[in-house]
Amino acid sequence: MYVFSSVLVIYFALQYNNSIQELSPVVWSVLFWLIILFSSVNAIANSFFREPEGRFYYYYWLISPQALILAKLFYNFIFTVFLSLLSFGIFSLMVSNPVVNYPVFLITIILGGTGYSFLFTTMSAIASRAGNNATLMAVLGFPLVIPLIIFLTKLSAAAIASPELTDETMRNIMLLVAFNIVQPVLALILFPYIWRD
Amino acid sequence: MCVILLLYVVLGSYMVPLSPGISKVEPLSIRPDSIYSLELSCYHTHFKNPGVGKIQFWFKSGNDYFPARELRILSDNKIEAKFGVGSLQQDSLKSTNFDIVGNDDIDGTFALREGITLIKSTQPDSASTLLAKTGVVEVVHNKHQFLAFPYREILYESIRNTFFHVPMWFVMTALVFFSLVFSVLYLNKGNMRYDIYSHQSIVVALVFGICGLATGMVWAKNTWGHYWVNDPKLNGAAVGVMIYAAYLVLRGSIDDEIKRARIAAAYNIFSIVIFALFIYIIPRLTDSLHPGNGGNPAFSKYDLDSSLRMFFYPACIGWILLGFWIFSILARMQLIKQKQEL
Amino acid sequence: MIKYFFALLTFFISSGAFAQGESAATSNNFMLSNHKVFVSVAVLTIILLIIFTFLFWIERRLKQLEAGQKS
Repeated sequence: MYVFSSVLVIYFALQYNNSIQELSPVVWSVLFWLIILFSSVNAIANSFFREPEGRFYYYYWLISPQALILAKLFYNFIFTVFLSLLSFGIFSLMVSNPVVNYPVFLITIILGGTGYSFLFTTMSAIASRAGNNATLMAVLGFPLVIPLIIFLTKLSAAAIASPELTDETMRNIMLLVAFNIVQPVLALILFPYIWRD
Repeated sequence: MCVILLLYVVLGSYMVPLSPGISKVEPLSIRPDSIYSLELSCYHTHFKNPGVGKIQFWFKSGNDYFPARELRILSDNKIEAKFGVGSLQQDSLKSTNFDIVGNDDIDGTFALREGITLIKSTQPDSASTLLAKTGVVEVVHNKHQFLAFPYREILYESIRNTFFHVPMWFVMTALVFFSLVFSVLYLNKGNMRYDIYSHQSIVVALVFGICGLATGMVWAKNTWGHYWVNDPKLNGAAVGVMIYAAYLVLRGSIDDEIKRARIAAAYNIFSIVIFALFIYIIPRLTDSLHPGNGGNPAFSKYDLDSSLRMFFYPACIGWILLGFWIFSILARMQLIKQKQEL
Repeated sequence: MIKYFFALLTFFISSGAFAQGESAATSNNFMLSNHKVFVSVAVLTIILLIIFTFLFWIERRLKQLEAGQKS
């Protein structure tokens, strides 16, 4: 729902300018990833915040913290990837779909979605222990997500621009992969500390 | 202590003059087969000084030196030189951009790299006036008569900012690394002292980071013309400052001490690792205006002259000591406050 | 109080950079006998000395406090 309404907003904003046909690759990428960013922030925030207080104790006695965080990460990962694909579909319906290089772009979506989901899951875990404040999660998460967005937009712009796989694209993809590997590992290590209490 | 070092650095950075160089040449491009009268504006040269000895000027392309035909001194800083290049030589040249090299007894050797371009003529004239080409150059590389900083285009005098801007970032990196160590120690041992240490070192790191950004912005405005450029290192630096501001916000929002310490330490470790990944690796991979990036290591031999080095190493050490001093003061204050509350 | 100190430190450091920028712009073709440079050097040294005095003062107070706490 959120995705749909934000895409509509973008569509109307662009219509006003009457320049949909000339949407440069970078602008397209930026808008796309921003939409995904905001929808995933909302979705993931809910994953931790909606749980009533008592349930945390229940989890604490039942399963190890690692299992909990793995489960949350996995669930958020699936959810965000689904969300990204959905946004892509709607975005390409409303605004033009200039993607030329489909494999790279799909890889980008998946990697970007995982990046977002891991990052914001960890942040919402932290923020949920700090008073269930959604703004806090955003404040904590945005500085860390900015480099991620930079890379995602670069990659998607490259995917739009040319169909071949350049060296730089490969490098960016490797970076994203590294980013996605580092995060769950860190989260796994750190979560038990956040969890205690 | 660091007081002496810093005073030395700051005073020295201003007093030492810039070494001589050629700042401007008019016209910018020449064609072969004519003799041009080039007006060279130089910087910190002493052409009218009686001790100047023999003034020589050359065009230099690769290993070929073309001496000037005639020199006329206009003032201490301006000189007019007549040069010409024969069109028959134009094909044997390595590149069409010549360096202009000058030499005299007081100023040593100074140059303007790629100062003048040769527009090749399409019809070589065999009866042209060929310039005598000196294969081996009798360049006497005089030592500067005084200590001087290297003369770099674009930077000119603001090269002195290296002693302020770069050490700031060193201090911030050192303090951030310290904070990481303390956070890990805290999570392992649970001693509240480590939490205080990591908190205070982040505070000081943030202050130095803001200083680093401020010096960088002023420098950028002066040399590149804008306060902020879309450059990965700058963006990374801004992101870093934001991350630590977020850390402080996080600390402010939790009231329970132990919980605050634990969660802040976890966030600290998580963000430092990601931040380090992005701020150190990315600038080396991409192009940037920032010196030391775009494929080059941070401090290559090319960037740091020996005279700069004389000031730069003490500057780094001095600023780092200052940063640690401030950190230790703050940490001790917090410790005392904590003890008094007990 | 500490916050004022930090503001002072930031100001000092950015004015250091600013002064160099000024000297670069004005003395592009002048020798170093441009008097403005000396003024900025003097100002910066004074600010630096103020910062150091402040730090020394805090150190002394801290030492007194720590000695008082130990006994």
